[in-house]
Formats: sequence, C-alpha cells, structure tokens
Amino acid sequence: MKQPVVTYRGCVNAWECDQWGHQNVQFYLSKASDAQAALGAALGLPPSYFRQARRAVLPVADRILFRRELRAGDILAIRSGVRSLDPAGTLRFFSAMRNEDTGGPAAFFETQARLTDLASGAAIPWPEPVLERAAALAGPFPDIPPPPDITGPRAPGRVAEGLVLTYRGSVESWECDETGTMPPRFHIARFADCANQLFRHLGIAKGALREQNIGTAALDYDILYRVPVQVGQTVEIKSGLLEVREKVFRFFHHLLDSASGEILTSIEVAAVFFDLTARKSVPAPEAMRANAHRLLVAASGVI
Amino acid sequence: MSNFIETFRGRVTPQECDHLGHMNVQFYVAKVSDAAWTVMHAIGMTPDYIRTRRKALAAVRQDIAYLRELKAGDLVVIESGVLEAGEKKVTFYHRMNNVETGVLAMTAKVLTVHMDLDKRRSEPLAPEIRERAESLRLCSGQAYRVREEGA
Repeated sequence: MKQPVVTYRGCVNAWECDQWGHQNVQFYLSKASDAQAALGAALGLPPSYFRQARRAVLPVADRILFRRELRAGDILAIRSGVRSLDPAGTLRFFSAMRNEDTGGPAAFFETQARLTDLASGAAIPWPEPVLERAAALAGPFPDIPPPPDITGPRAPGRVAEGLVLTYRGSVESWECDETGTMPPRFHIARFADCANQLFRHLGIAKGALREQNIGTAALDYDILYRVPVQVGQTVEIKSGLLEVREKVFRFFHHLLDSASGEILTSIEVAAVFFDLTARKSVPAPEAMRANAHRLLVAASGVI
Repeated sequence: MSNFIETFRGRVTPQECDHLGHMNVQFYVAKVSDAAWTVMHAIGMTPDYIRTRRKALAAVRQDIAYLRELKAGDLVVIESGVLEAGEKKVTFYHRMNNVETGVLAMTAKVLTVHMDLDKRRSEPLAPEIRERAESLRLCSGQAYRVREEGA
C-alpha cells in the first residue's frame, strides 16, 4: 500500500502561538504551504523549475480540519499524498499534520491546486514527467479519507448588503512570495483577525471572554482562492454569520479587491468557544445567540 | 548504519533572504533551533518531559560551517545526531542539505547544557536520557566527517 511522503518537519515556536495558548491558524497554513512545495519537488517540480518558468502551483481550494491544538514546544510533521491529477488542470492532494510526540493528528488539508502561468494567470497543463510521478505517488490512502461534506447553510458566492465590513488594508511586500503573490498564511492571518470584529458585532467582547476564561478555536475551514492576491493590492473583508448551533457556530468571509469589489478569496469557518483551562468546548455565549438573528438575516437574503 | 535522524524539513522564504540575495545567517541558526526539539525528543527529552519536569537542554556554544548559499524557495532538510553525552552536557551535530541538489549547505555542532527551568541552573542529566543520547551517537566515520566539514 502506498504511504504518504514526509513533506514538512519542524516544531511549534512560542512566537507562533496566540493569546489562546496554541499555534495560531496562520502557521498551520504556512507549514502546509512548505509541504505543498515539497510535494511539488517530489512530483518533479523543484524550486529551479519555478525560477526559470515563471510559473507557480497555486491553491484554488483548501478544506482544513483542525483536530488538536498544538502548543509551543510540540514537534510535528506533515505527510502528503496525491489523490488525483487532471492533466489539464487540477492536482488534488492531502496533507496530514501530526504531533510527532503523541502521534495524534493535528490537522488535515485537502487541497486543489493548479499549475499557473504567472503572466496570464491561466492554468496550464502539467508537464508529462509530472503526470508519471503523480501516478506513481497517487493512491487510495484508505487511512486518510477525504473530509466529509459540509452540512448546513453555505456562504453566498457574492457580496450582499448587510454583510459586516471586518477588515480594510493592503497587501505588503513582506507578506508575499517570490512571485509577489500573497500565500495562504496571510489570507488566514487576516481572516483570524477579522473574526474578532465579527464577534464584536455579535456583542461578544474579548475582555468579557477573557474574564470567563474562554477562548475560541477553529474546527473547519473551507477556502476558495478565486483570484491570486498581489502585492500592493488594497483589500477589504466582508463577513456574515451562517448558523449558531449549541456549541459550533459557522460564519464566512469574502476578501475583496477594494477598487473593483471582486471577490478574491472566500472562507467558511466552523468554530467553537472553549474553556482555556479544561481545553474543552463550551456552549456559544448567550450574547451570540441573542444577536445572531441580525447577521443571519443579513446573510440569508443571498443564500 | 547511520544514527542520523531527520529533524527538520522546510523551505527558505523570501522574508529570510537579505540584500545579498540569499538566506541570512540568522535563519540557518533558526532552522537548527527548530531541529533541536526533534533531536531532543529522540533522546527522551519530549515536549511533555520539558513541561512536567521543567528541565531542558540549552545551547551554550555553536560552531557553524556555512557551506552553500540558499535562495528563496529552496527546500532544505536537516538531519541530526549526538556527538557526545556527558554528565551535564550533550553535543549535537546537525547537517542541512538542499533537497533539490542534494548539496550539503551547513553543518553545526551545538554544545548544550542540561538546565533546571525553575532554578535556572545546570544540573546532571537523568541516567535514562544520557543512555538514550549515547545510543544516538554518530559512529566514528560520521564523526570524522564532522572534522572534514570543518564544523
């Protein structure tokens, strides 16, 4: 049976942890991007290929399941495997992040990516040797099944009145890769940041949460990278609530080009509140339930 | 058989590169630091051990040979082993290779001292840690390579 290949190995540093005492989501993504590059090399697309060809493997969709918190000092590895490769378009692969001390899963990434010509932005066919290598690496990987489908209301594919403006800024050079494109990490950094603005609109104050010893943690991300985000671009984020269950609540963000209003990236998030001592989820605060209808109504008009 | 274990696998980011167009020296050290937690785990000094017993190894001296430059986007792997284990000290050896070219880019010899994290003082290693460190010692041929590489 085929085994996934090790595509990242490292640790969690104290400066990668946030106020909730665990590795911030953006560093799950940066490590997964390193893993993606390593998988690219295993498929016959090493760094030198991209320097000469002005091409990049860009993610177009990513589903992420967060399974366990990681703390400063934890050691981890990512193992990746190819699900399928459409010669003309999409590479589907997974990356499984594991705590190498406990052996427990930390996160799963189910990713779709395309080989992209940077000048035109168009997807281009994969070179023949890559197809052969992908076939050799592809497997059913029964131990690592694709994530289950998302249940519940889905994010609208357009921007409606009533969504909350939760971020406004621009893309800096130090956030971008060698090609001037903003990698997933800095999308997620913005999304994690602007979730706090959404909470504020729901009547949840960070100070009150801290007094109750409650933090928040993401469970599930569903990301669509629609248009690559480039250095210098002015961007904003508009957010809405999808549903509030007993513990799990779901919301979404659209990252927009400020000038054109075009949606560049969309993310649906499922998250929970959790007790910072017990590290166990707790019911969503009453304030969120009480205020939810306003934002649910706003979003439901376009679902 | 080699006693080297893989302790880091990652990538050079543009943010780690300086105006000379290559990865700045500080990030070689940063990657060795990342690798250190996995090689410590291999000798029994696990994240849980460090948190509950409040003891860890702290670097007190590091000899590095920068052998090749690395550029933004390069993939690197670090393998590590033990050169020597004493009453209070463990000396680790790390070698970093460019994944694409296979070329050796850096070697580092790091002398660490066993430290109590509350007393902030050095103290002897637990016997089982010292024993496991001994078992990960690089063989003489590998140690010879260390001298050849000038680390």
